[in-house]
Order: sequence, then structure tokens, then C-alpha cells
Amino acid sequence: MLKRRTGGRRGASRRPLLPCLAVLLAFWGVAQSAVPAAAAADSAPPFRLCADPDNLPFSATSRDTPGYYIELGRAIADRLGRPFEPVWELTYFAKRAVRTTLLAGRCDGFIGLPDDPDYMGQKLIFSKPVLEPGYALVLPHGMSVKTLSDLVGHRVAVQFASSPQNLLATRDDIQMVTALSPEEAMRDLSGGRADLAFIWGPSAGWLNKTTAGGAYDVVPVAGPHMQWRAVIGFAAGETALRDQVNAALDALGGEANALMKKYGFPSGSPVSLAATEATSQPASAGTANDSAATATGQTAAVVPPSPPVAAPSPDAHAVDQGHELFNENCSHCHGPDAVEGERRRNLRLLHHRYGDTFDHVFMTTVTHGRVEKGMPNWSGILTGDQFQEILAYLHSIQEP
Amino acid sequence: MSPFWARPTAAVALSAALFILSQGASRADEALDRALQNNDNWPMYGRTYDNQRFSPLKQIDDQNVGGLKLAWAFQVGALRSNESSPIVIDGTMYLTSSSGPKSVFALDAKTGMMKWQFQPDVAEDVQPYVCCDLDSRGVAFADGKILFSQLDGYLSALDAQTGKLLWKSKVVDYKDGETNTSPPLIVKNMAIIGFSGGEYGARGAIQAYDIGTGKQLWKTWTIPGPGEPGNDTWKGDSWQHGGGAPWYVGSYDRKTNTIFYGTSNPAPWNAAVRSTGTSDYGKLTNAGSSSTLALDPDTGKIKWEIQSTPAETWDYDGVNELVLADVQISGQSTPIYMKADRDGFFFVANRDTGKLVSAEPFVPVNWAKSFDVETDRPIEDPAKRPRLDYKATDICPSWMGGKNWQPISFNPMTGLAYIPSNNMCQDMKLADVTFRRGAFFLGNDFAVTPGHGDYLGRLVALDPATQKPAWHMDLPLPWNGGTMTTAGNLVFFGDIQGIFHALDAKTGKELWRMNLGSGIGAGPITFAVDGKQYVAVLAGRAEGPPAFMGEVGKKIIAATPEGGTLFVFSL
Repeated sequence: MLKRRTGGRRGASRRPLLPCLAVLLAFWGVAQSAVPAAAAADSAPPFRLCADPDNLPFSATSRDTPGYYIELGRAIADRLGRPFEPVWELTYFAKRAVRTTLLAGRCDGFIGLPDDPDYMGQKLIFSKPVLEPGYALVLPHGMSVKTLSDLVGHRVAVQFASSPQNLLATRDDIQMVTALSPEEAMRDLSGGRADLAFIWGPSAGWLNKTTAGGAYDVVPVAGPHMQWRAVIGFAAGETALRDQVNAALDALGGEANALMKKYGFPSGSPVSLAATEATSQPASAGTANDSAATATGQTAAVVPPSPPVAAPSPDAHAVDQGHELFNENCSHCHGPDAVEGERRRNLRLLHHRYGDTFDHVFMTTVTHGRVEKGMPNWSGILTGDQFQEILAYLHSIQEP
Repeated sequence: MSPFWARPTAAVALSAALFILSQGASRADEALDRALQNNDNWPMYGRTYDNQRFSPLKQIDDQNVGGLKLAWAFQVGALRSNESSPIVIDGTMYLTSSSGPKSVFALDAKTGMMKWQFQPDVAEDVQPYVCCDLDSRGVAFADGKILFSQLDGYLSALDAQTGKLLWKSKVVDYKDGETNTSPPLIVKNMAIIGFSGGEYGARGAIQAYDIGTGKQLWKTWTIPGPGEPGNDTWKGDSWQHGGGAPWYVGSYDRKTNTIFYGTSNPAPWNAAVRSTGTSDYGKLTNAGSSSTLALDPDTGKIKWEIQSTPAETWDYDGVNELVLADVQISGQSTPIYMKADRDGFFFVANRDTGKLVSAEPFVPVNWAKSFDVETDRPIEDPAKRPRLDYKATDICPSWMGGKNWQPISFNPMTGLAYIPSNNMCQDMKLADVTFRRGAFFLGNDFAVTPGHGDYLGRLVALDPATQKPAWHMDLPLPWNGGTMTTAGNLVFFGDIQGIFHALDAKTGKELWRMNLGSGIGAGPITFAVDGKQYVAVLAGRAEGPPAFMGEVGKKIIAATPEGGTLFVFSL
């Protein structure tokens, strides 16, 4: 197959991200003076942050645990005096995701990019680091690993195509158990197929906290290709916004550290497992985690940023109301009674197409629009209850 | 040289064999056989099981081709990366558009009037999982059915008369990064199909489905598991996620009852994980990847395999189509397959014995100095093998390959193979490329560069018996379209600038050209209805791959807009 690559591409159309900078700066002043930003946020343009919808502990559409990036993004937006708006894009091909969202003007920043000036050539500029994640050992309590040789004779769960896999591949005397995801590696560990794991630290900490009941010690590992800095990327030229976000990050104080702790990111002194003595240890390794360990737990109240996910209503009245609303507002494009010949617009196929994410996709679409496909944003035109009624109606007419 | 291997297949193989036996003798698909016997038809991707893309039709020939005129055109309703070869059976044409496919069509092959249109429900969110654009390479015909792959991992069967969906079987899960782009190979009562996406942790497999019911009959892993021959060519448990996905079309030799498939590069990219990571890989060749596999279609058992790039690390897939022919080599009629490989070598092997006959570069190659057919090993230049933190520069060819998927053709009358080749090189190292889903993932970081010489693409007419080029035609850009050849001493192909060419098959002289307005990747076809011969090609420039090609990619995109139109010509 061809590989994911993002060399030159024809110029992505880029519309101004901040149509009204002066207004924004005015609100910025308000925010700086620590006045509650609610009034400003009502009229300021939203701070649109692109993130992966399915990448916990970093970001997710989940209401209760939207992930560190999303909660951080909301905190930044609060400091900017702007409402927060996540823009979801899968990052299976990360550079393409940046091209088609951030560089196409669909969001103001893309969170979770590597702090690498060469990442996409001259197209991006970056914030300060928002996280310093890295790989970590996942050890049963009481097990101690100080050097690579301590792994000899053990079965070590590693992730496919990861730095730990490459490091251990240099040793013939360490047996690897290859997993495709941190979740699979943790299952290998709990299922007795591996004695320890050497995987992505934030995921390990999160899984240890949420699914393993803290059964393991998660120890950060220092060394080449082990520790990273994650940043928010902006389109080149958006230096004003970048500077504002950096200032907001500075103003967060212990809030970021509290969030790291909430998501179980590993803390403590990193252990160096470098294959050779000559390799240098990154100065930054473990800094963020150490800070997290000393955070005081002053977690800000976090409002879930994802659109409300509606439960389908069995209420026949709601279905009738929704039917009427649909024919009044939606039938112009989607057909009276949702009878529609163009499959792409046929809303009787939503369950077929989106399965369990039906409700979420519906709410996201009606509250954000799909402007590029001609679907307007209905926020402020229809109410939340009316969306629920239309959704109930659509549920009642899905084709099998 | 690999011995004759009989790799055990998945458990379903046994029950499949029993199922076939219980049906009596494995029956041939009679409708397809009838279609194959009529020279007016183009009944499968490569026209016949040998994948030659050669037609015996000669009403249009080297004397009159200059008078070729548009007969009809058809808009497929989906732009970009239209890679489909239509098929034509008894006056009806069937084709897919790109984007899922967005549509499958049945057309009157004489007029282009639509008989039916089927729009599959392809998952909306498949695009983030597709590496190289939303392409579809067409349909297969069998037993009154039209079968095609969906990008979201399904194999579907339609009623050829009505376009009604008969069944739909899940081949792979696209959320694992595995997708389907190529039509199945129809053998007896089976639709045989691979899948793409080997880089992302998959283990390649070829699977057979019952044409009547869509039920899986057998599944053969391309990468050997424990206890299977070749498993010890993989380090540790790396075979589990070893790649080797057979994502292009297969070929079939009825005489020996053998199917042939190429397999993609191994995974992960760091060869040190699965081999030594150096040119001195010893026995750690990663069997089953970047290889040609010969299988028994009744059981799925692998008969033998030949590896084109051992312990591969440059993205030299071995998936390119196997073209079967009987040619005179050193005075003897020899049953061969030929393969213009991504790695730049043109492989000729005896397809009955699985023994390589010759392997010579058909484009500038420097990752290996030569290929030793006795030992079945390339003689590598170690400086051209990228490693973790070691950047190898000016490696030729590039990941695009000496040839990519765009199909070659072979004309038994001229004895020449017509290869749309790329003259591109690359710098490459193994590096951290992606931060997503719980890891910094590692890939090979590369930049393509123009090859040496003043051309980037070249149509090469090569004699597989001697490995000598008879003629060539230089092209200003790489990534040009597939070829088709006829008994009228003609070669047809479209280039990435949208020009459709007819050349003299013996000399390469251009006899006719027409601007179709969008870059062409798909291979042309030819067919006849009511005694009149037609030539057809689908135009519609690729968008995904040029995005990886740096400055050259910009030129490709600047040359023409996207498109999606089938053009049909006649005298």
C-alpha cells in the first residue's frame, strides 16, 4: 500500500479564523481581568478546537470523561472569554486530518500534535506544550525494573509499531508479546499472557485507574523516542491566537496538573532503559508528571463539551410533534415524511449508516451543520426539545 | 527458491473442502465460461484469467485507428480516483464509480443508456481509514451476478439483470484499517478476494466466498503461523501483525488449477522488529510478504511462493498483477507468469514449477545491484536500506514503485509487455510520524524525488523472454494509466495529464490521441457489439496518492481537474 504521507498538496482554502479580532481582543481584556466571561462568551466567536472523538484519555465525545485535551481546551476557552466548541475528526491519518480540518478553516486549533517544527513544514505554528507524554512500564506491585536487563526472562507486552517494540527488538533475550492497542496489552497483562507491559504511559495510567483498579505501578520511561511534547497546532499566521492561547495556558496554574491527575497520567521519577549508555536523557522527561503528582486537586468544574446525546423517546406524542417539525423544517431537502430518493440525504438510513452513534451524529449535525454538504446549523432556530422530537420521529421511521 | 509448500489454512478450509465435495465435482462457472469464449466480451478485470488485457478484436487496427471517434460518454457521478475497468458481457457493460463505490452501473454497451444503477450503503466514516483515496477497481461477473468490493470491507453480489442486492458478506473491518478496493477473482463456485491495509497491524489473508450464498469457504493467511512453513522467517511473534495484504486482483491457470496473488509489504515498518533490520537478514526473510503466492483454489492451500523483496522496508509491495502467458524462452515454450514489481524488477517465473526464470530492472534500480534467480535473493546495497535514525538517500525506485497498481498488458502477437513505469526515487528513514490513539507511531518518513534523466514516467514495451525493451515512450509525469493491447497491433493507455493514446504495438509510434480532460489511471478495455468494435476508458484523476508526491504531486494536480467520465470510442 501507499503510506500516509502529506507532501505538497494543492493549497487548502483557508478562510480567516478570526473574522473579528478587535472584538475578540476586547473580550480578552475582560477575561484577563477575571470577570466571569459568560456575557462575553455569548457573543464572542467560539474557540473551535479540533480533536479526535475516540482517543481517551486525551479526547472523546463522552459526556463525563471527555479527556484531558477537551477539558484543557474548555479551560483555555474560558480564559479567552470565548465559548468552547470541539470539532471532531478521527486522526487515523493524522496529517490528513490536520489538512482537512485546521488548514481548511474548520477549527482554530488542533490539539495533540507533536512539538516538531517539521511536522507539516511551514503550514503550522505551535503553542507551548500542553502535555509531555511518554512510554511507561506497567508493573505488578512489588516488581522493580531499573535497567533493560531486568526484563530478561520476562514476557513484555508492547504495542505494534511503537518505540518500546523497537527498543526491545534490539535484544534477543527479551520476549515480546505484541498488542495492537494499550487496551490489548493490559488484557495480555491481566490475562497472564505477559508479565509486564511497556506501553503508552497516559493510556496505561488511565486503564490502570479505570479498568484495573490500580493493580499496577505505572512508571515513566526516559530515553530516546520515549518522551514527547504535545502541543496545539495553529495555521501559520495565526500568531495572535497562538500567543493568547499561550497566555491562557500560563494562567491555568494548577488546573492542568489537576486534570492530568484526574486522568491518571503516570507520575514519579522516570527510569532509563536506553539500550546504550551514550544516549542522553531528555531534560523534560517526567516534568509534567511530577507536577501532576503534587497538584492539589483543585479540579475546575468541567462542563462536558460534547453535544447532548439524546435518548430516543418512546413517546408517541414526541414522534408526532417531530413529524410535524420535520415536514415544516427539513422536508425541503430531505423529502416530505423523509421519503427521499437521493441516498445521501435519505434520513431513513441513519441507523443503517451510523448504528449506535445515530443520536450523536444527529445532534452534532443539527447543532453544527455540515456546511460543506449544504446542511445548515439549526442551533438557535429549533430548540433542544424540538431536536429531541425530530430525533424521535426519525427513530420511528428507520429502514431495517 | 521456496519448495512446494502446503500451508495449512484456517479451520474453515476443511469444511469448505467437504462442502465442495458434497456438491459433486467442483463445477466451473458456466456463465462466465461462456462469456470468456466470446471474443466480443471483456468479462473480467484483465479480460481473461491470464490478466493479459489483450483482446483478439482487430476491426480497429494500426491502419484505421486515426479515425477513432467518440461513440458515447457516461458520467459516473463521482469525482477523483476513478480506477475502475468496466467489464462487458453480451452487449451489457458493468462498471463502478469511485467513492465507495458510489454507484454500480449496468449500461447498454452500444449506446451507454443505463439499464440499472445500484448505490451501496457504504459507511460514511470510512474515509479516515483509507490510505490512498476512495477508489474501486470494478466488478466481477459470475452466474448471473455482479460482484464487487466495498471500501468498508464488504463483498456484495447483485442480480446482473436487475441490480438488486442478493447478498453482502463482511470480509474485513474497516475500523482496523482494512479496506477493499479490487474486484474478486471468480473461480468455479467461488469469489476469491484479498484486502488492503497491511501496515496497520493486520495479517494478510485471501478468502473465498460461495457465489450463491456469500458464505466463506476458506481463508488462507499469507503470513505463516506457528508450525507452518516459513514461520521461522519471522522474529518472535511479529508474524501475528506481519502485513502481506493481497489487495489487488488475482489470476487463474485452469490447466494446473492454480490461482496467483501478490502480497503487500510486511509490517511494521521497522524491519528490526521482524528481521535483523539490515541487509544481512539471513533466514529472517518475512515469508509471505512482498511475494507471489500460488494457491489451490479448491482448498486455499499455498502450493509455493516466490518473494520479490525479502525483509522488505522500502514500501515495495509485491501486489502487482500476475500476467500469465506461454512464451518461447531459449527455444522452449515456457508457461510463465510475469510481474512488473514495485521494487523495480521484472520477474519472469515458470508458473508450473514456481522456479524463477529471470529478474531484471525495468526502471532505474539501486536498492539492489541485481537479483539472483538461483537463490531467489536480491543483491542489496546496504547503504540504500533505511533504518531507525538512519536516513538512506536517493533510493530508486520510490514507494510508488517501478510500477504501481496501474495494470500492464501483454500481446502474444508482438510478444511484448506494455508497462506504465515510474522514474522516481526517494529519501527514507524510519521515524516517529504520528501521534494518535495512545502512541507515537513509527513509520518510514520519506520524500519522493524525481528520478535520474529527463522523464518521470515511461511506457516500456518489454520482451519477457529476453528482458529487453523493444521501445519506450517517455512521459513528463509519473503515475500514468494502465495499458490494453489488441490483435489490431495497438496499445491503448491514458496518461496522468488526461491524454488517451493509441500506439503501434510493434514500434511504439503514436497513431492517435485524444484529450479527455482529467488524469487517467484506469486501464482501457475493448469490446464489440453487433459486429462493431469499441474502446473504452474511465477518466478521473487520482487525488490521494499525488498528495504524497511532493512537488511532482503538485504538478499532477495542476495538470487536470478531478473527473469521472467513461469515454467510449469507435470508428
